[in-house]
Amino acid sequence: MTPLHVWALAGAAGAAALPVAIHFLTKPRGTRQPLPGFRFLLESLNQTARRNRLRNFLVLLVRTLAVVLIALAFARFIERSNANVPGADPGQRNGKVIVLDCSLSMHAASEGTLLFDRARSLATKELGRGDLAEADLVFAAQGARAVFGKLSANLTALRDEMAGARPLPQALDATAALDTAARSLAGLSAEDLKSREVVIISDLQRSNWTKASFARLPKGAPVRIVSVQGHEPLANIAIVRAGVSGMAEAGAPILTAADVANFGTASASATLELSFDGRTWSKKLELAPGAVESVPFEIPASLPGWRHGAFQLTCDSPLLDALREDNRYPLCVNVRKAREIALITTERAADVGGPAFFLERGLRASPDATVNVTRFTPAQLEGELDAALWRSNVVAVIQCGRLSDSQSTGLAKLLSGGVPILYAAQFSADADNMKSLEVTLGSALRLPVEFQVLKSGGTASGGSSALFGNRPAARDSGNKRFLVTVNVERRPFKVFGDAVARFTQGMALNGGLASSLRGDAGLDTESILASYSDGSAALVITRVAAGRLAVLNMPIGAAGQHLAAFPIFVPLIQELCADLVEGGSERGQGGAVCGMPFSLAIPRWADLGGGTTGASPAKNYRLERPSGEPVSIKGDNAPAFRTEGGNTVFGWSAAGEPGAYLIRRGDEVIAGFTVTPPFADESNLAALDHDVLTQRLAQDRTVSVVSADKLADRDDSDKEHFHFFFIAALGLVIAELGILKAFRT
Amino acid sequence: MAKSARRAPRGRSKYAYLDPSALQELKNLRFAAKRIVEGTTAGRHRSSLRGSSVEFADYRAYTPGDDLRRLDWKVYLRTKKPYVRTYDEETNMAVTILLDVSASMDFGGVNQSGERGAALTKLDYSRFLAAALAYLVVDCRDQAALGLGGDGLKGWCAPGATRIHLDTLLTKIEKAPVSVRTDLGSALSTLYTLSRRRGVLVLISDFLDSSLDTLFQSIRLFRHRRFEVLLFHIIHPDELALPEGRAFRFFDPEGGAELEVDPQDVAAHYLEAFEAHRLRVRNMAIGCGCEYERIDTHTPYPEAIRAYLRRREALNR
Repeated sequence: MTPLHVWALAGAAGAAALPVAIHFLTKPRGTRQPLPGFRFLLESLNQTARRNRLRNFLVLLVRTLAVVLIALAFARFIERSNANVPGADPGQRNGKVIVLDCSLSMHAASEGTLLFDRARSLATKELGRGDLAEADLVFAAQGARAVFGKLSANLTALRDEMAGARPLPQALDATAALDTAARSLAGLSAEDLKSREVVIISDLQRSNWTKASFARLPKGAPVRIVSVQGHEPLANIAIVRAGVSGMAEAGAPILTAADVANFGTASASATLELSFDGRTWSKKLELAPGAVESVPFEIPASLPGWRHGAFQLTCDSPLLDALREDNRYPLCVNVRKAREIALITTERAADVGGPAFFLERGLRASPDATVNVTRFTPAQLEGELDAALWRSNVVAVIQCGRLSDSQSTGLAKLLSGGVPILYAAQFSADADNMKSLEVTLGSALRLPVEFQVLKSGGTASGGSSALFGNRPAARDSGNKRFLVTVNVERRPFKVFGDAVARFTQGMALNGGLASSLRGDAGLDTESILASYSDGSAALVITRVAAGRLAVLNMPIGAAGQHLAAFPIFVPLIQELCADLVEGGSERGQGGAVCGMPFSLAIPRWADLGGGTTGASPAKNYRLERPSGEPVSIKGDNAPAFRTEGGNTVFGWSAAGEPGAYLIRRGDEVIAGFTVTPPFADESNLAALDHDVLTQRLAQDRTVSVVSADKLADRDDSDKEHFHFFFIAALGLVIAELGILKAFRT
Repeated sequence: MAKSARRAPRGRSKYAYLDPSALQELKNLRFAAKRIVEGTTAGRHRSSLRGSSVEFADYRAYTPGDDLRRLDWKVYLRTKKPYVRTYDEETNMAVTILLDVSASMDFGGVNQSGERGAALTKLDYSRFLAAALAYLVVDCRDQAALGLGGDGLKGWCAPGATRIHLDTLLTKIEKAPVSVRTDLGSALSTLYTLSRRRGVLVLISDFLDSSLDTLFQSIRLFRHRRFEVLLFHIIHPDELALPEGRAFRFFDPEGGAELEVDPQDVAAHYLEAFEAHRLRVRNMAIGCGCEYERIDTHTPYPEAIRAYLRRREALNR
């Protein structure tokens, strides 16, 4: 136990002597006066002397005690646990780098106080220590920013910066924060580091800190972590994900859903409200502890165009929702007039029963959307591509023969420009086209498998599939291959759920390509969503530049058993098409995360459209809010349009404020996207165990963790002490009055 | 002589402690003895002796040798038996005033700064009182004697009824020195031996004597000789209660002892003790058959005398 204000103790000692000194110094000089009845005075004194001595002693005692107690009240005794900082007394550190967590989770409220306010208060106290000679301040969120980048004696500037600090709707990149702190201490000798320390003030959110490594900090400088989390884990409910299911098309209802999670330990009642396109819907929720509930909303048909709205979650009990900033999730949906599909094939439209015939039927068979299928010939891929191709939601390629280099280049352009391509591969030329496409796209396309011509006997010329295993030989018969493995966790098979086995069982197909896994390490084997009994990939969906490529290695319209002969054909094609249209996200349009880099390829048709001026089409675009308010952000994080490989790309090195954004060219909305806080990372407010920080993550650094609760307890204790001492002093004053009254003569 | 003293112009007395004009109001009152006294000359006071006087007392049978002038012939003719009339012999009265001149009497209160106040001290007041009484006594052709009591009898002036004697008394009263200590018992004992015939003893004192028992033993001697003893207890208002304030250094006027004390601490006890002392004096006085009169110095002395004499006259009727 140490006094916070030593001077107060010294004052206490002085103050204790003060009443005595005052008593003697201010003792009035008696006026000399004769008294004939002196004998009576003596007599009275004899009677009252002992009583008066006792009274005087008691009065002096209570006065002294009262003064001492008041001094002690201001001395504010606190317990300092120096055990966590071996060999170092924080009070002797004259230089420190303070890392202040500014992530979204710091916006949580604990016991009526924002964690960030608590953190800032603590940081300000750290800066206010009298023995501090120099310091630097690091604001840590998705990126870390140091005020000076080195230790500076300009503490006033640091305090000013601190006063203006705000929590950001971003996740915390602990590694970046530690790196920045390390840079502030760079260049200091080991001897200098002994008198420096790194003070991290954070909520120690598990999702942020679990991968932190203190090895990035220089050895010698101890690390003191102050956790601002409360006594109990903070309960919180949040929208962790939201979006549109399927493609939003005019005339058709829009299916939206929000995943609402309850990170607390008690059930929570909440209301989820969806505001979209000027209309509002709401649902009452009962969220079990730890549960993530998907809440669907069906929005009646909307007009075509970019529409926006937001989910808003309101908890009935504010105590169960510590973080309010994760209760709003923006939506930005492109409601299309119709699904535009370009079908590239050499097959004539009049031909019936061909592969393109069946694929077109499958593409058109949407139960709830208007689908326009336009046929193109491979020759139309040469040269400048038709704008209709660029505007296509999906380009389907089937039975197009061997593509020339220029045609492959055209296809590659579409992919690079963000147009998804469904390539139905079943002929030997398709294997060559895949290779040609890979060559054309270079590193942008790396399929996990290499497609080859299927040899007789139904075996692939490549090796076995490590991912799916080998099929029993008994099931292979002749050229037939069975579809044996499908990834039901992802689209397009996810829609079948547990019934997928019923669809695929005994599904033997004649034809298609064989494939073999590439030996390259790091390939995206998860992009193989279905495979045959011989290990060949039946469906591969991979991202290529801004677009996506789906290779459907299944015979369609061929002789013998082909995909169109099975009931799974239409739903599979529809789901596959929807997946490609929606960009691989089940919840639609995709979006940026606050503070994270974000890029969006401007559709090529927009660049080709009229109204472009100047040499750079990028200058024709602007970023706006749905309200029409332009987004004007200056500096390093300013959003920008640039031209890459002939395409215009919107880039944002660190996405800004949450909400919906529209990219316009003139009056036309070209694209839209949302910026959301990092809900999944920041909404779960569970804190990392302190032992993990001090042991596993410390990496031979001296790391100590102090809970702000303890500090708060100390503060409370201080307050209690203060109140106790003060009230006791007051009580003593009252006691003095009582004594004087009791001894009144 | 006495008449001239009574006619002295108001405020123009040559005596510091006698203002005859102030006593004009008392001219109709007289200081009469309640009891039978022994006088030396014929006077207004009843004597223990029977003799010629105008105050008829009784009849008694004639015995040879009685003065035939006192034979009541009318009674003899009616009863055929000789009776003589007896009369109360009236004589003059000797009033002995014992004035306490101890240091405790030299207290007239103090002002805020602890200096002696402008008010009369108890001694001054007593001087006025003694002078007035002497004046009244002599004015009634009675004899007045004066004793100065301090640490024993400090002065004595034998009884006398003349103007010259009054002058002597007044001068003695005026110039009486203050005695450091008080021993009125000793003074009374001495006075007792000096008093030749019974009369009235007037003791003017604050009775802050070292031994009240000794004092009243001496008083009892006088009472034994049938003296009428009057005790005037002089009290100054400032000694009744301790002064208000926080710090005073009180000293004993007679002993010199000093004591620094907060009056608030002892005020109540002091008051109780003082009142107990006063009651004790009163009770002892009454127990000895003395007359006790408390006189506060804030009461003008003529008024105090008048009140006393009226009460006394009323009792004598």
